[in-house]
This record gives sequence, structure tokens and C-alpha cells, in this order.
Amino acid sequence: MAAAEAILADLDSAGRLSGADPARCREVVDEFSLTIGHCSGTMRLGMNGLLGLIELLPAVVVRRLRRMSRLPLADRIAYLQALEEGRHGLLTMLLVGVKVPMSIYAFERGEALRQTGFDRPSTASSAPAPRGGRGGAP
Amino acid sequence: MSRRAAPLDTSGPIIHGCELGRGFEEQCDVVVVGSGAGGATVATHLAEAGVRVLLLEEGPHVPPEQYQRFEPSESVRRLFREAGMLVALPDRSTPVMTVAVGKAVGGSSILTGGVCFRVPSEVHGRWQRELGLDALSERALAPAYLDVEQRLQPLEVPEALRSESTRVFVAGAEKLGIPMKPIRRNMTRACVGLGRCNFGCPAGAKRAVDTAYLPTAFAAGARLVSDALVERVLCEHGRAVGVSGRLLCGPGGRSTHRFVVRARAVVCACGTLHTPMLLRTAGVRSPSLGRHITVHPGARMVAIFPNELHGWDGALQGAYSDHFAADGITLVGVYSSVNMLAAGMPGIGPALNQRVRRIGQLGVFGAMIHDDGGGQVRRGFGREPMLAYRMASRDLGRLRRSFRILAEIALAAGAEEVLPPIFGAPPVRSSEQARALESDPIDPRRIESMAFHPLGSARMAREPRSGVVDSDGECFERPGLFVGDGSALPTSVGVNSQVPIMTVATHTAWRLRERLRMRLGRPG
Repeated sequence: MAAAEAILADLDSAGRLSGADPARCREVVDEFSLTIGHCSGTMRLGMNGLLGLIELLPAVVVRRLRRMSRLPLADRIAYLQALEEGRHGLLTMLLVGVKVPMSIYAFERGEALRQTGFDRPSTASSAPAPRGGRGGAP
Repeated sequence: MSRRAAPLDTSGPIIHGCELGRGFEEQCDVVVVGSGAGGATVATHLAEAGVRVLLLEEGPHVPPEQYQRFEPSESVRRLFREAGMLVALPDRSTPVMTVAVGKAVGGSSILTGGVCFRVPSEVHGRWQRELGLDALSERALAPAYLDVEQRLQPLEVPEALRSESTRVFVAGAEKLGIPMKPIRRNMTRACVGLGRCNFGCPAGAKRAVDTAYLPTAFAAGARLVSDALVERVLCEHGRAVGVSGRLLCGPGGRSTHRFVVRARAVVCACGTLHTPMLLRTAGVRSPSLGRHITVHPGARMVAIFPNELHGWDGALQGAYSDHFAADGITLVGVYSSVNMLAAGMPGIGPALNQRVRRIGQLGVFGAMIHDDGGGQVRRGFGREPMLAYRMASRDLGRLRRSFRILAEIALAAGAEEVLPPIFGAPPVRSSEQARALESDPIDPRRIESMAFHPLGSARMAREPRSGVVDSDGECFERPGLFVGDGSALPTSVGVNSQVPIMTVATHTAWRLRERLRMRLGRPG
């Protein structure tokens, strides 16, 4: 939940850092958990280990003696950013293993989907909006 | 075996194993394990020849009209093995690569872009000249190619279906003198370019095996049990005589009831990662088993253009270039669902959201490497195997060269900045920075890559010391046990593997049909 809040945080209209909507974070975390539940026991174990490491590594990565979930939002973002941009590829993979699956759900529906500029109601829509100048299917 | 086990007694060809409520014992002529590109092909040819075929598929049966409505996350969860999070375990010199493999009736074929290539002539030549596999020469396989193409009916993606993302990259490549060609895909004319073939075509326009093969197999009498995990190949007097396993139920695949299928021949077609595991249960001990696995390491280059491209309007894959084929690099147009693109954007929090708002301006193009075969599949801690992969330094060099080429194409096409597939790398805005993608030192594990088309874990060979199966697909060590999927391909093919797998599976099915005709005296 804390990771989702940081990954999806944004600036508000006044340019201040704002955590993502808790309901949206809850939905993302629930979807993520549901997906992990479809995986093998080995994969579930691996993902739990990965989440545990992300929780415990601030001391190593940004020298903060706190668990990730107890860091203030700005520090949490800085920590996760440091994981992503770190020179050590394995640390990067820790973050990517969580960020990518969470983001898939986070940007799939509603306002978050519209934020991408996608011009259809759903990623499963089978009818594209008509466009001028296109030949269409032969 | 459960006391309640009995023969299958069903009215239709598709039996949902998780709904059966009991185990079963069954007899048939050929049991095919796996219903993907290879297994469906073998089963269809044998059923058409009057052979009694039973297909066993570990994944669920999700009908096209159902998966066509899935959003990508649901598709990933329900149709991909390990929910799309399977990775090849790297060594220090290898990128961490995700491996996208299907787990459903139809296998990975329902999740591909549908690109159709024959194996290049030079690869056929190598199979014949260097490996002595005359049966896999271009000429010998010509009838099988024709059969596959008649069923898939591949069409060239017309220019009208190219996305703007593909168009700008094609234009950029032309400025640099790199020719691009249209791709052929197993799509019907119902394709309207929704750009998400890899999660199941919403328009039902892809001729995957669940529409191009399996209905024919069922019409000819084949039956299929889904949610059926095969655990062992049964052997008697040194010969494969059937399989046993258990039916799976629920999201985590809980075990329910056991089954046994006895057959005159067993065809393993459960994919390059799982077929070796199954062959081991039959006592196959070849040193080649589970080794020499080739993949096509690939990467995509994302570029931000000053104008809106709306790259989601158009075919997922519309053009390619084999200009660098001699160097083992193929450039391929590719796009993805917008939420997948968003998930792959760099940044956390505001930085991520800022980039997500520019997805309409993204152009995406990919590259695929013709690799040296550094994969090895091993038994994992649970029931899933582990793929370890060591990328040859030559292939890493090729991958990084492809980054440079793609970045240069994007810049030539007018991109403001290029986001290289290297975690934490700054955006590329100049040719000099593009060249650095190839030359600057970097931890390979920071490279964002995917392993496409795993092949060769039970490869064909002329003799047992060089491979696992003969040129008919039958195990050297275990008569009656055949391999009918990409595991049997002897080397990397350098192109998308769907047609090559189906072609070699067709060849194997025809040879098996001849053998059964001799043994059974049945028509075929």
C-alpha cells in the first residue's frame, strides 16, 4: 500500500506533492494480490520476498533507518527512485518487479486511463474512434 | 487413482477438468500434452487422419468470445503463465529478461502478434549441412509450410493499418537508408488495428490455433481436457504408453482429482520450458535435454515526439526490417496497450505521471536478437521449472547495437527524446548519446529486455549424442514418446517462431501418422 501510494503520487493543482487516492491504491493492491494468487507457490514466495526487501532496504539505499512504509511520502518517492536509477541492476529489478504489475492496473481504468490520452472508454474496446484520413481495413 | 475414476463420458469435445468433479482413466491412440502452436497442430493432423486423439492442457479453456473482452490485466492474470511475471534467471553478464508464455487452451498462440515468417533459408541450410537433418531442409518442409499457411492464411499488414508510431519509425529508417517491409500476420480482414493482439484480439481477427486448428481437430473427433496437469509419462518395457497427472482447480491451481491416459504414442507439446521436465519423468537422460535453449532477446525503444501520434490506432506490428539480419538483429514495429506502456515508463510518483500524460506522443519500435542459445531449464522449487540464461557477449553487443540503431532512427524521425530500455539511463537527445548506448560501460542487469520464442530444449538431431529426438520428433531413448513443440527446433531461427513450430509439428504429425498406420493398420 505504501509503495502504491508513492508510485502513483502526483502534484496537485498548486504544484504540491500529493499521495495517490487511498481508494485507488487499495484497488491496485487488491488487483496485485489477486494476480499473485494466480501464480505458483514459488512465484508467490519470490514476490513476498521482494516486497520484504523493498520494505527493509532504505537503510542501505538512502541511509534512512526506517522501514519504507514509515518514510514520509517525499522520502519514499526518493527511495524508490534511487532503487530504479541505481547502478546495481538487481536493486532496479526489485523495484520493477513491483512497480510494473501495480502500474498495469493503476492506469487501466477511469481517470487514470484518460490521463494517458487514450480516446476510448476501455482498453478492451473493440471499436476505435473514427479518424479522418485513414484507409481502414481492406 | 481415485476409486471414482472412470472413462470420460462427455457430450462435447472440450471437457473442463476443474468442473469434472472426479478423476478419470482413458484410452486413445495418441495423447498430446499441450494445446499451443505445436500440440494443436499435431492433434489436428492426427485427428483428420482418423487417429483417436486426446489433448491435455494444463491451462483453462477460455473461449475467444470471452477473452476478447478481457482488459490486459485480466488477460495477463488468466492466460499467461505466472501472470506474465516469469523471468529468466541471469548471470552477472545478462539482462533480467521476462518470458511471456501462454497457459490456456491455444497456448501462446492466442497471445502473440501473429507474425508469420518461414525459417530463413540460411538456417534451413545450416540444419541440413551442419547438423545432417535432411528432413528439415527447406525443400523437405515445403509441403508442411504450405499446409500451415493454408490454415493460418497470413496476410500482409496493409499500410492503412500501420499506426502512426510505426509510420514515424519507418520514415526515420528510410532517412537513414534502412529499408522496411510489411509484416505478414495470421489475421483476417476483420482486423481493424486495435493494437493489442498480445492480450487476445478484441475483434476476433487473429487466426490463432483455437480458431485455425482446434475446431477442425474437434470436428474430426479429437477431445480436449483443460485444467489437466500431466505429471508423468508412463513407460512399459522401455516404451511410452501414456501419461498420468491431476486436474487443477482454482486460481492457485489446487490439485483435485487424478487421471491416467493410456495411448500408443505420447506427444509432449507443453512448451520449451515444460517439455524437458516431462521427458525426464520418462527416464530421458540425454545431456542435451533442457539445455541449449535459444530465445530471441528483445527490447523496445520508446521515443517522445512533439506531436500526438495515438500509436494505439493501428496494427500492433506492421513493419519490420531485416537490414541487419547478417548481424543477428531484426527490427520490428511493436506497440502495446497504453496501460502497459505506462507501466514501463521510468519514474516514480510525479515523474511517472508526467510521462504517462505524454503517452499519446509516444512512438515505439523494437528489436530482436538472433541468439547463441545460452538457456538451460532446471527443476524449480515447486512445480514450475526455472529458466537460467547466460547471454553470450556477442549477443549482448548485438542487443546494445540495436539500441543505438533504434535511437538513431527515432531521432531521424524527429523524436524530442528517446527513453532507452536501460533503467535509470537519461533520455537520449543526440546522435552522440545514441552511440553511447552501444559503447558506454553498463551493468547488463539494468537493461530492460524480454525473451521471446524460447526454443530447442529437446532438440532434433541426427544421432543421440547431439540431441534428444530424431528428425521425426521421436525420443532416441524412449520409443513412442514424441516432441511436438518448439523444444524440438535444433537452433535459433531468428524470426518469430509460430510458423516454424507449426511447420515442424506438421512434419512430426505426418511421420507419426505413417508410423501409426503401419502399427495399427488404420487409414491415414
